[in-house]
Parts: sequence; C-alpha cells; structure tokens
Amino acid sequence: MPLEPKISVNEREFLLDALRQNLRLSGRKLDALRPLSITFDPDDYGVTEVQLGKTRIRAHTQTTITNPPPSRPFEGTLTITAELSPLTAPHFELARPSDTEALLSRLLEKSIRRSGALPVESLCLLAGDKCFNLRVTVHVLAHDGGLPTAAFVAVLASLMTSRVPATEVRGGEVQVFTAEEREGVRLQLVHVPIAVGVSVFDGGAIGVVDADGMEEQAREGEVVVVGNEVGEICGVTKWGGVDVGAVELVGMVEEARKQCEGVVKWLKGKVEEEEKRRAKRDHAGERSAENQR
Amino acid sequence: MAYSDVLLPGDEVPQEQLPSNPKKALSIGPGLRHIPPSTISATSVGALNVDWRRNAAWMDVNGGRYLPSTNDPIIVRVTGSSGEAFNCQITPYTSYAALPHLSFQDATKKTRPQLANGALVYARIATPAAHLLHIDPELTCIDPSTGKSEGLGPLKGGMLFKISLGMARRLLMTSKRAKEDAKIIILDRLGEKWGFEVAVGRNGYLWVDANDIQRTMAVGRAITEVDEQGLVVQEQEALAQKVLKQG
Amino acid sequence: MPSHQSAQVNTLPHPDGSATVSSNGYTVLCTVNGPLEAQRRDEQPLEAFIEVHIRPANGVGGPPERSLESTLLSFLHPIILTPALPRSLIQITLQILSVPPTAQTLRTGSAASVARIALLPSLAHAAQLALLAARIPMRTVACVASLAVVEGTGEVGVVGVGETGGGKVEAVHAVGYSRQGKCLLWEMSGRGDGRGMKAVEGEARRRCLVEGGKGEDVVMGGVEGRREDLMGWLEGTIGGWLKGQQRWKGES
Repeated sequence: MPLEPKISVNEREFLLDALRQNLRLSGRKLDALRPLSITFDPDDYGVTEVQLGKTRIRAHTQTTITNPPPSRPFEGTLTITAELSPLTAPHFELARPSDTEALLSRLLEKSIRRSGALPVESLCLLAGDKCFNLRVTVHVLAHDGGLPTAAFVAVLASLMTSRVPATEVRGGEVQVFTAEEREGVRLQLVHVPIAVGVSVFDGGAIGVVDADGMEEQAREGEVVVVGNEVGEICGVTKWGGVDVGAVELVGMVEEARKQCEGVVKWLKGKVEEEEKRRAKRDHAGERSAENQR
Repeated sequence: MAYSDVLLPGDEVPQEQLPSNPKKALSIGPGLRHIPPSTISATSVGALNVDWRRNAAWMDVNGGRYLPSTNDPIIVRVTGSSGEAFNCQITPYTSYAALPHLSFQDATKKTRPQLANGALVYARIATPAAHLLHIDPELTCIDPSTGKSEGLGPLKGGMLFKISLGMARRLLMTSKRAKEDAKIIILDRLGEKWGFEVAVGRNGYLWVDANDIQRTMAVGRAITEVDEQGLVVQEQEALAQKVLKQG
Repeated sequence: MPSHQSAQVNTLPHPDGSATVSSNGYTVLCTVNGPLEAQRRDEQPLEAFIEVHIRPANGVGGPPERSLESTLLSFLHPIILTPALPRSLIQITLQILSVPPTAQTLRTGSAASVARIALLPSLAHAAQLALLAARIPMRTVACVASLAVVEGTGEVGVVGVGETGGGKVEAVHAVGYSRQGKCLLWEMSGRGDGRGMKAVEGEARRRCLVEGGKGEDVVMGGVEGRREDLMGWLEGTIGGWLKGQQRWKGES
C-alpha cells in the first residue's frame, strides 16, 4: 500500500516561521484564495472543470427518470459523490475509500443537499409515480489542497448550468420531450452554498485561508465554512485537530464566510456569461434557419 | 553533438550517426538500448546526442521519475531508523534507501548522529552500478576518497523546493563548458548581492538557506520560475534584477 | 483521417506522466506513475508489474471496464520495456471524462460493443503519451484506428467510427499498428467476411501509418509535408511537448 509522502521537518518549520511573519510560500496574503477558473463544456451542459491554483476538479450531472422512494412520494432524488482514485495520487486506492474522499462526500451531501439548495420537491414530476433522479459526480483530477472549495464550485456550477428534459403531465402520464422536441429546462436553485477552509497553525493562533498541498500537510487543524451569496452560514465543520479558542474560531468563521460570499458572486457572474454565450449560439442557429426560407 | 530529428521508441539509430571508434566500445546512455548484434534503438522520445571523442551516444531525457545512479548527490528525507541504518526516502512511493549510522564523518558506535523522522540529509548513492542492479540503494555521507563529509550530511533549517530532473542536472554541472551549455545564471546573479547556501539533489530537489525567510523564499521561487517557464539567460537576468530590488 | 483528434501532454502537476486525448467524441485522461515500489504479491523479479485501471464517467465501473483493462494491458505490455524496471510497479490510470451524446449502434442494435471499439483509440493513445511523458522505457509506439463497415451497394465501405453518417453498420473494428508496421491489436464486433476484413486492414494501415513506416514526408489531404495519419499526429503531439521543454536553450 503506497503511503502518502510526508513533508520534512525543514519544510514544516520554515512554513510556520514564515506564517508567524505573515508570509506564505506562494506570496499570497494569509486571507487570500488562489486564482479560481472555470470552464464549461460547450456541448455537454452541466459538465464543468474548476481550477483552484493547481487543484483541478471536474463535475458532471446525470439525469434519469425513476420512481420516487415510497416513503417520500412528493420528492425527487439528488446524490453527490466525490471520487479520488490513483488518478489523483498513488496513495488513493480503488477498493478502499480514503478519509479525504469520505469527508468530502459527506461535506457536499450535508451542505448542498440537506441545506435545500436544490429543493427535492422541485424534482417531482408525478406524485408517487415519476421523479427526476439527479446524480452529480465529482472527479478530483489534481489535488493540491482546497478540495472543498473547488468541489463545491464545480458541483454548483454543474447544477446551475445543467438542463433536465422538459416534461408535461397529461392524463396521469408523464411525457418526456427530447432536446430536439423541446429545449431542456434549467434547475431552480434556492441559494448557492460554497465552502472555504481555514487552516490552523501555531497551536491555534494563526488561521490561513485556502491552504495549498504543502500547507495542508503542515497544518494542525482545519475549519471548513459553507456560506452563500446572502451572507448566511450553511455549515461549519471542524474535524478534530488542535484546539482553537472560541474568539479566534468566530474570527476565522467570519473571514471564511466573507470569502464564500465573494466566490459565489464570482461564480454567478461566470454562469451568467456562459448562459449568454449559449443563448447567442442557439440564437445564431435559429437566425440562419430563418435566412434559408 | 545533437541531431535534430526526434526519435521515438523503436526507431533505429542510423549507423552513420553513431561514433565508431575501433578501439573503444560504444557506450550508450539513457533513452537507448542495444539489440544484438548491432542495432541501437530508442526507448524514449527525444533527440540523439553523440560524443565522438568519448564514443558515447545518448538521449536528452528530462522528465519522469528519478532513478538512482551510483555517486549521484541526492536530498533524502529520513523516515525511520532500524538497527544499523536510517531509512530514507529518495522519491515518493518508492522503497526506502538505507543510510548506515556510521556513514557520517567522525561517526563511531558511541557518537552516532541523531536524526529525527522528517530530517533532510544530503547524501550520495553508494551502491555500485545502482541503476543496473535495481535493488534498494545504500547511501553515504562520506566521500570515499577523503573520508570527510565534503558538504554531505544533515541539512538544518532552510527550505526545500521541487525542481525538474533536467534543472537539477543543469545546476550540478561542474566543468566550464558544461556550465555554459547549462545556461543558468540566476543563482550567480543573486549570489553576487546576497549570501545563501544551496544544495542540489539529482532526485529533483533544491535546498536553500539564506538565513532570512523572505530571501530564502525569493531564491527558491526564482529557480522554480526559471525551471517551470524555461527562462532563457536574458529573462533570468531580468528576473534577478526584479528579485533583488524587491528583497 | 484523424479528424476531431486532440491531445495535451503533462497538464497535471503531480503524476510522473499524464495526457488527455479526445477522439470519436470520447475524452480520456491518463496518468502514469512509475517505477514505484510494487506490493510483495505483485512484484516480478525480472520485469516491471503493470497495473491498468479504467474509470468510467460515472461510478467505479463494472465488467465492461474490467474487460477493457484486460485488452489495454495486453496491448501495452509488449510495448513497454518491462525488463528495464524489474521489481517495480507501473501504475496506469485512465479516467473517461466525456462520452458522445448519441450512441452509434450495430445493425443488431448493440451499442455497448461499438462504444468499446470507439473508445480504444483514445485509451491507447492517452496511455502511450502519458508513458512517454513519464519516460518509461518503451519498445515501440503504436496507433489504433477504429473503423466501421457500412452496408453499401455491394461494396465494402470502411469509414471511421465517427463518420458513418447514420448508415447501417455491419461491424466495427479496432486495429492497431506499431511504428514498424506490425499489427498489435485487432478487435471486432458484428458480422463480416474475408473481403470486409481485407478492406478494413487496408484502411487501418492507411490511417495509422503512411507507406508502412515512419519518417515519410507525404502529401496527404492536399497539405504538403503535413502528415494526416495517426502516427504523424502522435509524433506532432509529442514533438510539441518536447519543444516546450527545450525553451531554455534559446533559439537553435
């Protein structure tokens, strides 16, 4: 079983000394995120690839139509799974899901699904009979820290740009239209939750936003905050790690929440840009058809 | 001399391109293999290099994972100690190399160096023909001819930076001619104004200690930028100016 | 013609070698790590142990992926110079990132067998580009073409799997040729006869290699000096990557 390589004493001590002087190896400020970029697949709606520094995550949404669970006849289903494989690094084995994978999946599940960002009632087509089943898969292509942030951005971007088939209920039957018959429908998100992590150093005294791979290895703890565009906190998670004083913790959570707000605003801007681009493409297609008449 | 045609695996090197000293056997280096009786074929992708005087042929192979070779200076991380030696990791996910407790200058059974897990050591590969034997290599921190450390040994403080294997090779050139071909001037430029120590590991690591956090980071980042961006000499000059002004 | 083919080499920071290849509507990302320490049970005394993992776009995959892994392993094993890295592990992981929106089917209705054949070129090329980038020693390089035999008027029409234009597909073939002109892979699904097989062989050879080997400057598709066969495309891709690596040498 290949073991994850650890950083050396020299690196760990240097990083800590630097942080005590308010310096990071990358030259970033302690409260700065790495550059974020996103690409949307032009042909496949709902496929997004996000880069946060050197971390790369890809997400896509699959839609199927199934029967709703008998205990919840008025709802559809939404599942979000994160996968880390030897593709990410040799120490991520196939048969055994790592802690990283389990924690990431749980975080996504908790903060996106259970916060009601996409109300599952909106996925119901015909009560007790048919509903949409959405499955979002997250592939971690490169891991250099900041997985929660990049994963949330990729998942939300995928949901915001996905299309589900248009449907109509006629006489107790659900008719599903193909993309050629009727344009797909966008999903209605109630709010957009994004995660930002604050890594803790120096016995809880220093908090650093968006740690990269090396900083993650050297850190003593982490607080992950999920926030949305209206400044609400949708989740705070701290899995063990060094003790952090209450006052410091509140400070870190507030810092992260502000960052979340900023990222959501950026994401919404990017999604709007992409939708405009698509509308132009589709409209251009229509116009040429008109000219041919 | 380097030929401009790019060879791919399986391509035979044309006889006329190979040096043919009747007194010396042809020595073939990385990226090539010999298929008896007289075919030299490529195993990697790149351009062919030949040295008619040394009767050698090889390929420039940059990239991939470091493979241990006898006498290479490398920077390793101690992962544990067992009986007679420290266990050290040369590259991630590969088996450990042994660094005997006594392979340090002036070490005796009573005065062994104390190295904690995670300590960095500058060592050489002692196992003869390491690149052929494919066994876990043994390391040493003593120069065999002098019995002294000659710069090898534990590295205290400073910071580690990852560099490409090609950059490590360039930084380790010693002869004047080779240094010119290596085209690295950034460290010399920075060294003219700042004092700092460096150690270069052929396994793709650079250790820097400038006794000052910002300067150490600046030197390390400058080298990684030259490496990642493939900066030519003029660009390195400009970068050095910029770095010195900021620091 | 390798239409709609694109590739990028070594875009990921951590693996020893990586490559992304798109063709026939499939996009595949491959990472190669090695030589690594092999597990005791896998270690071979005289050669490297090769592991191939294929992950579909969704989930961990099942029998189709395991079967593709087996085919790809038997294709790659003779290409990799395994005796050069005894006792080690070479880990090859392929992730299918996207699949074409509409599935081509055989006349019999089977889409799965066509998908498998259409996917093989991307898998084979991504794996080899990643192996080359990781500097794993290799014996040769091979190109794989996927072809469809389309029902015509008494003639055997052989086109690329993505070029059938909705015609009735009798059979699909994935055929691979090494740089030296040896056939290293042939998989087929559907129905065919001797005449069809000959036609497929000729077309596959033409698409993979020009004039049966490398280093020929041939005018193809009207563009002088630019080869349009798969081997030419592979050479161009890896050549572009090498040139980027040599930037520091300055103008040559």
